Amino acid sequence: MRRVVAVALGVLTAIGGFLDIGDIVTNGVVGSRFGMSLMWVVVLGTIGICLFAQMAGRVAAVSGRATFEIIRERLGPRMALANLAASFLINLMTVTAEIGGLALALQLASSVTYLAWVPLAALAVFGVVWRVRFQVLENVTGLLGLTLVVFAVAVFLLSPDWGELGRQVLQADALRTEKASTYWYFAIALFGAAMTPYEVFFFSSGAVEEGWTVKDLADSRLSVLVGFPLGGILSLSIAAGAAVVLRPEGIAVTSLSQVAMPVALAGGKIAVAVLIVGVVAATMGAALETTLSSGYTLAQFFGWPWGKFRRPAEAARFHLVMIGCLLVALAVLFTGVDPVQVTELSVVFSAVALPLTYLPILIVANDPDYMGPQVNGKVTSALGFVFLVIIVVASVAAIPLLIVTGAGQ
Amino acid sequence: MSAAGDGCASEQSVVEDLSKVTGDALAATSTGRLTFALLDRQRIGRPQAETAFVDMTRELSTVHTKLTGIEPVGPRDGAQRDEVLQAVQSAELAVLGGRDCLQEQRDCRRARQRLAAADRQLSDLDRRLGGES
Repeated sequence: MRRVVAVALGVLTAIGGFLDIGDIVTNGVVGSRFGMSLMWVVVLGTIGICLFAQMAGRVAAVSGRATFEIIRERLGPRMALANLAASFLINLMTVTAEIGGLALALQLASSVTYLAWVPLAALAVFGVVWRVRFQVLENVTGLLGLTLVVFAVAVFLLSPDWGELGRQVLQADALRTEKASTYWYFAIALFGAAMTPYEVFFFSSGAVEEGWTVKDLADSRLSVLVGFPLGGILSLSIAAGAAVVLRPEGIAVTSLSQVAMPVALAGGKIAVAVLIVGVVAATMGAALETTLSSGYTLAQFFGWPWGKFRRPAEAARFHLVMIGCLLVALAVLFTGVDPVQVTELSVVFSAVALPLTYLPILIVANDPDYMGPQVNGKVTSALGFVFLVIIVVASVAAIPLLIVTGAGQ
Repeated sequence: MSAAGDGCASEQSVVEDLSKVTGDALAATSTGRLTFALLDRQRIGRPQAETAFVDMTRELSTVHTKLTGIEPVGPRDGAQRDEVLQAVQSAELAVLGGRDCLQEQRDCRRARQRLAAADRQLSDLDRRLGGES
């Protein structure tokens, strides 16, 4: 019975923890501009993150070592340093986006400007990272994030023309009003939103923090393979709501308040309140994960003591890195930069950096000497290689498309 | 956004740029109208409505900045740019009015009328520019 509860909890937290501000905003933008014609990317990205998380978790359980420790070992210190620099900067951008997203959600609840919420949000993130146990942190934000199922409920309450939505999935009719370069730019943004590197840093470091062994792999596989796809359905729901309500009005999403409008139309004030709880939980959870990931990446690379299981005095540099990242995020947000634009850029740069972390994990997961019986099977290996090609293509195309389209403008 | 190069190609790109910013401004006024509609039907509370209008104020400010960066190449698109600028300014005033009446908890009838008028003006421009680009 306890095991059933633990597994159920793992699945539920995987669903609730799947979305962050990048997924929420990017799916809203894409739905409002392209309808459902980019939803194949959400499916692809969800399969990709399941594969990536599974491999990273298996590597951590077998080796007892997290992603960046593996990267340094496999790539050597110089290549790994370049890898670290890129991954760390993008992670920092994501921290900024998540803190900004949390502040925007609190503004939506209160109408108090998000800038007033930014320092409180950063303080709350640090307080939770400092004081709250890993398991509690994961479970609370994951379970509260389940309230984002309100997006899926809203789509049903809106009684859309399902045939029309299905037609949009199969036909890229958005290309009549949008350029092909913009379509592919947002395809990469959506892919980057689904496969953000911090998720894997956090997942594999968490596996080490919680002392996973090979015996825990079956449960984690279930959480990922059931929870993540169900989380992906929530992504599709956000886009569907925007496609049904905003796109016919000619409204392209540029703010979180617009993302909430389909839910408001469908379910009223209660639905909006539930949505706000969900967005706060999702962005808080992601802010915690990205903040911890910033500490994990640097500490693992340089071989410093790391982990929430260690007292702060025993892992001082790990904690100082996290404080530094939060302060940088604060400084960036106080320049008045639009958090939604930071979010949109962070998902694109996540796609750029993805090969740096994916390739070492793929190499190790395919290494029978390292992994023993837990090595990738033939199907996983083939799928892993296919996704490597997709990830590299997305990474190479991202910056040129960013420039050509003016960041999707 | 600027137009440079020989006559026809440049005029076309100016019209396209003007069409794009007009569309962005129209999206902001449409959002404002949807916000009032949701408020009327009690689908959202005042904080969410205020937030939406604050967001659209910022959005229109961005649109205004983009618009002033568009350089016309001839008298015709100069006149078009001025027309779009006037429409965007009306939209900005309307959205600001909406934001203020909600924040100050005043009667929003005037703001709604201005918003509807700005929305109509931008729709008309959007249709005309869309036909030319």
